Amino acid sequence: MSVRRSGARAPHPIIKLLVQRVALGVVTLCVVSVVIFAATQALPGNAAVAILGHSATPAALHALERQLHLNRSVFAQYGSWISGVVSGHSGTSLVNGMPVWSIVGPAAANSAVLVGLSGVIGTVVGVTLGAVVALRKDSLLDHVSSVVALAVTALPEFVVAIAMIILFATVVWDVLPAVSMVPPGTQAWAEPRELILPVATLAIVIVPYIFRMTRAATVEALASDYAEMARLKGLPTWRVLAVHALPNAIAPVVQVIGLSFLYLAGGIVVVEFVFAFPGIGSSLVSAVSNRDVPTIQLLVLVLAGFYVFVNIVTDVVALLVTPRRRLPR
Amino acid sequence: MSTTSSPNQDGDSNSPGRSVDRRTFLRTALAGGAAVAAGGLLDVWTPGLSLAGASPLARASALRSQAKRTGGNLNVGLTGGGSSDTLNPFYGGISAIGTARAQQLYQPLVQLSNQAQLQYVLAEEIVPNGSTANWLIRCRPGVTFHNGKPFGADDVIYTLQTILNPKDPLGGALVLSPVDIKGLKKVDDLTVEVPMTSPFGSFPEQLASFWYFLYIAPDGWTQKDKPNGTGPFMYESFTPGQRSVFVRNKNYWKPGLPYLGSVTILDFQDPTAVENALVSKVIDCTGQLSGTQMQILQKTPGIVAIPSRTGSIEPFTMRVDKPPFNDVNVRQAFRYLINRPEFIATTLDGFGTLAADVTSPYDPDFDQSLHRDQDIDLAKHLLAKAGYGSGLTVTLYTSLAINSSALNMATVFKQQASAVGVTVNINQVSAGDFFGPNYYTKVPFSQIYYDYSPYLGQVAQTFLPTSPFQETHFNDPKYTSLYYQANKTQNAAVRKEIEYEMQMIDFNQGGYIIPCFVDSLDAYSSNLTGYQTGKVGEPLGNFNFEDYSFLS
Repeated sequence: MSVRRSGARAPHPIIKLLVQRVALGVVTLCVVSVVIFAATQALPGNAAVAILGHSATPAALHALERQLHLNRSVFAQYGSWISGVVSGHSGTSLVNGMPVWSIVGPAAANSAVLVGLSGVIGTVVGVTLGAVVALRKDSLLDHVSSVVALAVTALPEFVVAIAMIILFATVVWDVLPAVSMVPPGTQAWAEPRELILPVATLAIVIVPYIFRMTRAATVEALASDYAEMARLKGLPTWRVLAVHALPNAIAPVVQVIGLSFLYLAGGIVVVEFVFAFPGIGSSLVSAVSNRDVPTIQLLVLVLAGFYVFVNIVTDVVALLVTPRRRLPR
Repeated sequence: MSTTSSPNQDGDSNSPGRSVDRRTFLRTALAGGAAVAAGGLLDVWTPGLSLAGASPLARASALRSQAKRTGGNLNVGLTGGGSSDTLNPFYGGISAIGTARAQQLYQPLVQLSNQAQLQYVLAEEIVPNGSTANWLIRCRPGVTFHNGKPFGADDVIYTLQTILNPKDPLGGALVLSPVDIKGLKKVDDLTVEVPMTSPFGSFPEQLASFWYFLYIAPDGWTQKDKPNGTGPFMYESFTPGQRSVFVRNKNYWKPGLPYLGSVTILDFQDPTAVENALVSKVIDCTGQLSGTQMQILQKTPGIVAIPSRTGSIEPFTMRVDKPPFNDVNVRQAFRYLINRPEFIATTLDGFGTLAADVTSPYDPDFDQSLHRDQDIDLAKHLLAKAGYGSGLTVTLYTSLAINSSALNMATVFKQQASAVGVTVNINQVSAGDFFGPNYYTKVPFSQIYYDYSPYLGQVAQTFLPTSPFQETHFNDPKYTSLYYQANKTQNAAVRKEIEYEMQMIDFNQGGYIIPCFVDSLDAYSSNLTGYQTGKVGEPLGNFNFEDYSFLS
């Protein structure tokens, strides 16, 4: 017992978790930077070939490679890049000479708006639907919604995106813009109409997962002894659900929500492509096709950072909503 | 372990500030979430309401009621750009979207018109000065750059010297190799004397054929300076890979032009997104469409979709110095095995015209009598003569870097070649590699594309031992000497005769297989007027937006 008591003065479990995860995250990012650099070196061609295209004569290629310092060794290129990042200079793009941050910053902000809005809307809709359907287990609503959710899960996001465009922008009703081209220098939310279709697409893609997990977890919680007790006490159904069942069902749902955010961070590449949305996904596609190594590096670091961040947040939240996991065992 | 003395439970009840229990956390999170959501909604929807009058639809209808024939913003959507987009005039020809931008800001001395003929722009005339080894460029008077500086001989000399800089030759240098860079002389403010190291009778048309690499920059301009040209629109803003905005040049030297108040050129990555943007009126016009898209847009109300017959080519290239193509019988067999009408129907949805393996159909010196039909028996006979009667296997290197129809064309060729016992293995090279040092002009059998060019210009690019783009490594002493003779003579009839002879050599021995000339497919909103079809292959009628205006 005395051992346990001394444990009480040890760092709070959440702080301990945070410290561990942040340290691991930093290591992850370092590894990612090396892997990405190696991957860009394995890509065929280079920025000079990409810039010159059909007009790439050997003389012009040679001149441009010299100008872009592509003739230096791989280690020298990586070294100058990583030392720049550490000292706060993200470097300049190989293909247009702009500071890399001026490309990545606005793109990341636009994508963050897209991911944030879709994630929040998808979560609210998914959890609400799941909880409501759990109350009506085995009803017609339950069966229909389960089948629909399963069907939607099977649809890749570009199919959903194209269906949305056909429905709301081109063929059936011409009420929303088919593309979401946020002008440079303005914020993504300045033109809310342009956000509707991409956000709806991403939300539709994640809702089924959150919905099904919430439903399953809530059904289980509602079948438990404490929920039964609450009902026997005469509590109204909404109170049994909101106060007793949902809080106990939320832990697995939090994990699914975290996974959904991670999925969104990858899923935006396709959605940004279809809607011509100037975010991190389309920047990455463009940077890769141009072999713009410094831009690729920073974009991937930002994405990797987001993954690390969401994982930490998910774990902390899961810990917060599961009191028994905080107990020393 | 006893749970009654759990330190956490103590912490829970005694010092809520030190620890967070689930109830507090959920409550806080919900309250915070609600606040954020409410704030978010306000943020999102309040401007939405106030901007309701400025939505794209409302803007479009306002435009219709206000604008007569001047003013308005033209939204142009094109693919093919990316973060390497540039407004550098010397790189204007690297991509179609790059040319679309450069064509608004800058102007060349001469260019090809939409009829694919030589058209003077900043030059009033370019004439031989005694012989074809010395030329005079007379500049158009009364032209000013966007910053007010008058255009003249100094700008022409500066531009030519920058492009031909031996340490860093730019795209335009490819057609100017005979120019004696050190001998450029300013005769007066508006006249430049251009001596050549060898006779260069096709100088004006070669300037015109590569005009998008030969835009005139003001004397002393460098990449760090603001874009400054003589074109119909002036620089306002530019974000590589996204959009550029150019506004009307009030001092444009063509009176009354341009009509539009501004031109916005938008980058797209996905061809389908461009099509959707046109249908939902986000953009007013686009080019580079596929045959399938064209057929859909031709049926869409409010959209005009027009194919332009052009002289653009997408040839298969055979290295005449490598087996099996070093045998002319194999080259001719490959040319005879193609069913050209079927090739056009399947690879281009019918949007092309027949070709006979010779380039430059709109050149006044083009031999219109050249024609080639499929002849399977002859192809088999030629292959047998070359020793491949029992079959031949070749590898065709293709890539999406060439263009989107390259792979289709390769596949159809493969299928048609099987009829004469030729097995074609298709090797698809990644887009990033194709124009690099190991493919393109190195492999024995490949593909490439060119916009229309007058005949001698095309020859200089591709079929001479000194050409920059030697896909075929064609090196025929007689042919080369004919090229130089054609450049020496000042007699048009003699020159035509020489060019006919060269084209006959192309037809009978050349390394290109050109099954067809490829249409350029454009579409625009029916509210737009001033569009012209173009024979060069540059989309949207050479991007001549100075002629465009809105109907109402």
